[in-house]
Amino acid sequence: MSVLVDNLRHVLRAENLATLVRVAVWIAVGIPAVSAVSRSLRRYMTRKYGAQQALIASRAVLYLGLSFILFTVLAELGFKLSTLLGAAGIVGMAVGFASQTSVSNIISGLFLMAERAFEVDDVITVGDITGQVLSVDMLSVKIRTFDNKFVRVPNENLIKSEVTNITRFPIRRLEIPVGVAYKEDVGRVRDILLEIAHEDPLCLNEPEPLVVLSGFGSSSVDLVLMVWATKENYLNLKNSIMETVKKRFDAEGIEIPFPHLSLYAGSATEPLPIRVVGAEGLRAAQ
Amino acid sequence: MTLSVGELRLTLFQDKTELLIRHRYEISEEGAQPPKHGAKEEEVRVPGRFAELEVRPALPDRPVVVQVEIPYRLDPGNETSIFVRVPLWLQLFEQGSQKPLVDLPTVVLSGTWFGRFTEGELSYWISSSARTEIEPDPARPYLAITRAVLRNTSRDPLRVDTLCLRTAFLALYDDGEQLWSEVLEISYKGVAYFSQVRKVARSSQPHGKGKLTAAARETSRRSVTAKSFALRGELPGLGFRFR
Repeated sequence: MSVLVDNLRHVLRAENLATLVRVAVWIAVGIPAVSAVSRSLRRYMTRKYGAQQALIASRAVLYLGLSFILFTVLAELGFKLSTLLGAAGIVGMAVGFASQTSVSNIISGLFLMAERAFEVDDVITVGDITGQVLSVDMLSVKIRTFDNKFVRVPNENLIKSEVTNITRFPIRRLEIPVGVAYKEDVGRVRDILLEIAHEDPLCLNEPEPLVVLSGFGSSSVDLVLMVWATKENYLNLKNSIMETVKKRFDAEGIEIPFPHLSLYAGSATEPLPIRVVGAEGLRAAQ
Repeated sequence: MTLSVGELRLTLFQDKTELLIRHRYEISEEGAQPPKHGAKEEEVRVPGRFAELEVRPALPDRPVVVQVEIPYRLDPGNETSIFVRVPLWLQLFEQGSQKPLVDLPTVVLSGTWFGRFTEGELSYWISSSARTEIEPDPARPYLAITRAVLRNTSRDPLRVDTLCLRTAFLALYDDGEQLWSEVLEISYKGVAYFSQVRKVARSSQPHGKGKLTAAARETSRRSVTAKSFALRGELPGLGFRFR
């Protein structure tokens, strides 16, 4: 501690003004220069390699540059770097023990970047959070949800849990459940659904549209119309095709039933017994 | 003024300050039912007064996918030719300009995916088949004919079934009754390799006749390396194939 105080007194003497000016120049010029280089590198790499790589490279340059300036300034001020590094080692050990979670997040972050399960601008689902990846940082991933909330997810959580990358592949399959009344001709319904799919300009011809009979429900015969679209047109196709299905079914007289419940009292051939309660019954009850 | 080309209905209004270009699509056959899709009218407003406008044909802006009438086998070392009718785009230019005011398909085409589930290209689906012989069809001037020469330069037989034709870098020729594109040569190099696709600067017309009438959309390239052959059912709707 006394060595540190002596060093500070030495620095503040008038004859060390040149040193102070050099330090000021390093800080005043060096920091903006490193920031500018980092930003330029990020712009260049975004164009050439993508947002994810650009972010990593620009942050690496920024941190290295700032570290270099810091050590240079400290050396100018007369601090012995070997002493500082020794102290940093001891401090590092203490910090390490205290920050195991942070270290785990950093290591997890490195694995996430190496695996490339997702990148900046991808849309991912983690747990019940779905949103666009804003950045993949050392400790956490930042996500913007579609209702514009900012979510910070620790990297450790991402490594341990299931992550769904919705926009990884260029095309996606859309499944539209369709229930029709039992009286309808399933073959005819299938043909109409496939016709609707082929006529929709957003629906891809290949992979081909498909209709699958998924089951016999309590109120309807259940089918699933499977169609494919590019990831950009996924929602537009969902809207357009469901609207067309409804309109076409109405035009063709195909019933989409609501849930029915049939009551049987004992034997199916017997009418349901009904007792009419008249005015006499009401007076008797009172 | 109204132009009808294929299913495209283009209407132009010029007033004092701008040119209004309206377009919609209709099935052109007589007694046709109301259009099933593409009936919504869209318009583009271009500021300025235009004394003269030029209409030019163009080939599609994306690859087109077509199936042969009957799939066949092409043995190593052999070559064959197929012809495809490709719907044209209509481009409207100001006289002397190189940038179109509008660039519209004359027929509404379906999109399709050519490639794999994990990567590929968004393309147009051509419903008519590719054939080994074809006749000009002056009654449908909005369709150009493209000849593709298929060469099997690999050691394995090639099943010619579904093809992806890159027409964006082909120019158009006019022989007076039919529009023909430049010839496309596709060399199949094997299952593990992409095909070499090259354009030949002559008309697809059987006798090579025709006057150059429209430049290619992409003029910077004469050849590409890309997947050009596929089999029917390679991309099943379920999303996977049993091996």
